[in-house]
Amino acid sequence: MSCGDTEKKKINIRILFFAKSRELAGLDEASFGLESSSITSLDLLGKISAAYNLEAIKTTIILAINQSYCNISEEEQLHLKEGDEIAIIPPLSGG
Amino acid sequence: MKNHLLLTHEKLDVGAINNLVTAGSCGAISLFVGTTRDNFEDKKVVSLEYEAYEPMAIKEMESICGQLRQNWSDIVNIAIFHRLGLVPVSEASVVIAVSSPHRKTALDAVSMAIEELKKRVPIWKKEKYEGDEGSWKENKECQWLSKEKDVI
Repeated sequence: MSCGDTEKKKINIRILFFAKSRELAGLDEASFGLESSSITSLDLLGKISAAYNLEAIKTTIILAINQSYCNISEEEQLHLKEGDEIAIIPPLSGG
Repeated sequence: MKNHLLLTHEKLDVGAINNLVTAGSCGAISLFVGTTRDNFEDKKVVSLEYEAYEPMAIKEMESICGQLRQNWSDIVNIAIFHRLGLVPVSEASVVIAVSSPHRKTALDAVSMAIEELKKRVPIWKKEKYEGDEGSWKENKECQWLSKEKDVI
């Protein structure tokens, strides 16, 4: 995305918690306000972890953004929109 | 040529899933049935509870079907069923079935399907132990736990 004006806009995203993260947060889902729609995945995970008691498992989590996995990195620049669905994905254990 | 995908709280019926993938053109149906184990590191497991990020889990299961069909163009039908909620010990938590004209494709495809499911379908299980709260499991196939942190 190239439009600089929209990147500073405040937005609300939807956060979904699963497994251990759901137990630690004490919530299935939450609405979360961001100062800017442009944020790295590492910063986003940091903010969410601080707000929802996930510090203890932060290094084992990845995120899914609108149902696609997203690597956690300071180089992973996200451009989010109002209402985007961010899922907290602890290590998988299906099967 | 169909992909049958389901997340369900009901008991999995292996015979019914077998029938779903049956086709006249096929000489092979390969089935994998994953069942819940009663022990972990000397602790007795009394039950297991599964949860999923359901819409994304179905999407990843669809993507696995695409990957299988790309690897083996002679696959006819695929079924991937995963149970959710409380699963008593020794019952099936996952059933994967693939039909194909000849056995090698079906056997190899089912093996890849379960590996991929463990790696990338967003499903979690919590083991509940006797006299203990229980713990969330982690698949060793889960990629971002490896040191390299490879992109999925």
